[in-house]
Amino acid sequence: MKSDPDRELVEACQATAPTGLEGAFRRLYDQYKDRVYNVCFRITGNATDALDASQETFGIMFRKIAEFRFESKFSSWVYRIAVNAAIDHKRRAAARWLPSFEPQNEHTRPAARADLRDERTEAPLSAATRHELEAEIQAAISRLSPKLRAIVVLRYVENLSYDEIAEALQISLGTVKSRLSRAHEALDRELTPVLDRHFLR
Amino acid sequence: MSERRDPACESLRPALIQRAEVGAPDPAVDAHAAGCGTCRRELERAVRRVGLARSLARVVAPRQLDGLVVAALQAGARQERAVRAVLDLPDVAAPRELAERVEGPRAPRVLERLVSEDLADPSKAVVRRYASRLERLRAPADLADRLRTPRQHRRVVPALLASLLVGAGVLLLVGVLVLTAERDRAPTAAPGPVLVVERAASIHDLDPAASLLASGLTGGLVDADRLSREGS
Ligand SMILES: [Zn+2]
Repeated sequence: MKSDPDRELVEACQATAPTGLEGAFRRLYDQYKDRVYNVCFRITGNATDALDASQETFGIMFRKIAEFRFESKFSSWVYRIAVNAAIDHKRRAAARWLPSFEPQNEHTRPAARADLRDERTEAPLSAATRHELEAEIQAAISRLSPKLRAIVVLRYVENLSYDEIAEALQISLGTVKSRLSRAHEALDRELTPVLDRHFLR
Repeated sequence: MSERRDPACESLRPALIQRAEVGAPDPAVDAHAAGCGTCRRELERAVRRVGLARSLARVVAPRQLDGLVVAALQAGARQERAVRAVLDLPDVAAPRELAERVEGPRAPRVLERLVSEDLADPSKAVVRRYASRLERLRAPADLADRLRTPRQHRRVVPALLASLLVGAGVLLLVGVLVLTAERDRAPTAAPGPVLVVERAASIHDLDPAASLLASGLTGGLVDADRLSREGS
């Protein structure tokens, strides 16, 4: 990979062993913490599991950064670790009989959120309706299989291109397209009541 | 989309999704959708699905994460230091004496045979092994005693015998009395039999005919009693 925007920072981290969040490690962490947390939050479906999966992601990232050889973009590598950590965490949580999706409330809601602006919804939504809608979409995503969930989150939440998704998930471009197509089919089943309620009345 | 699609529609599906994502015209998709109601509806729904998925708010990592990552890094560093310390320990050759002293347990030679038996014919090997492990049972001491004194087995309970004897006597007496009454009722008087009442201490002292009758009535119990007396 010739022009990785993170190259300089990554090489600075590779030159020293990580002991704390200082210097290059701090800068790299600041650059990725929201992206990692977003992926983990949307894949696990709740703040508690997202926090654990994010911690695990950075733990692995800083422990293995010395082995990173720039064979892919650094960001693709980080997304891959985050997706795997979140899926593993959700699987382990399900095995412990915890609910797979916690509805949003004061305890599970993330600490802060960027402003939600959706130009596609025809009528302006009230805050309550928007909250309800978001919870329904998240619930629909949470019901998808881990593979389909990951591709939906990377494409529509993280806005990665098909090539970036292929690199992050280590799959071919054709697989990205067919998997996204299957994700749409599954989402259609899950979202039909939401679509009917919010768009067809 | 639960309806079954035409192969032409199916092959166009990834392009249709990209068309819904980008919003820019795609000649191939647009031309097909113009003539295919299913795909036109699917394109509409795909646009809305993409809109919904993209409407999810971007969440910001909570401040808590900093502390958790620092803890993970420190734990990782400690673990790494410990591993390095262990790996850095110099290699020490074991003294030759150790090999002599620690003669590890060797597998018994029979193991080789058992393994090859298992490989050759597993079911037969299992049957042989478990059949040979069945416990050998010893005959109880009671059996020897029983074989030594077979007749004791047949000894009749005295109380039962006594009641049977009394029963036989009563039957005999009733029979004689009935015969006598029949004779008395007969219109022509004929010379009747002489009734002799004989008292005996034991059934064996009776007249042989009476003794036989008693034996028959008791199903051989009288004989059994006699034989056991003679035997003991
Ligand atoms: Zn069609």
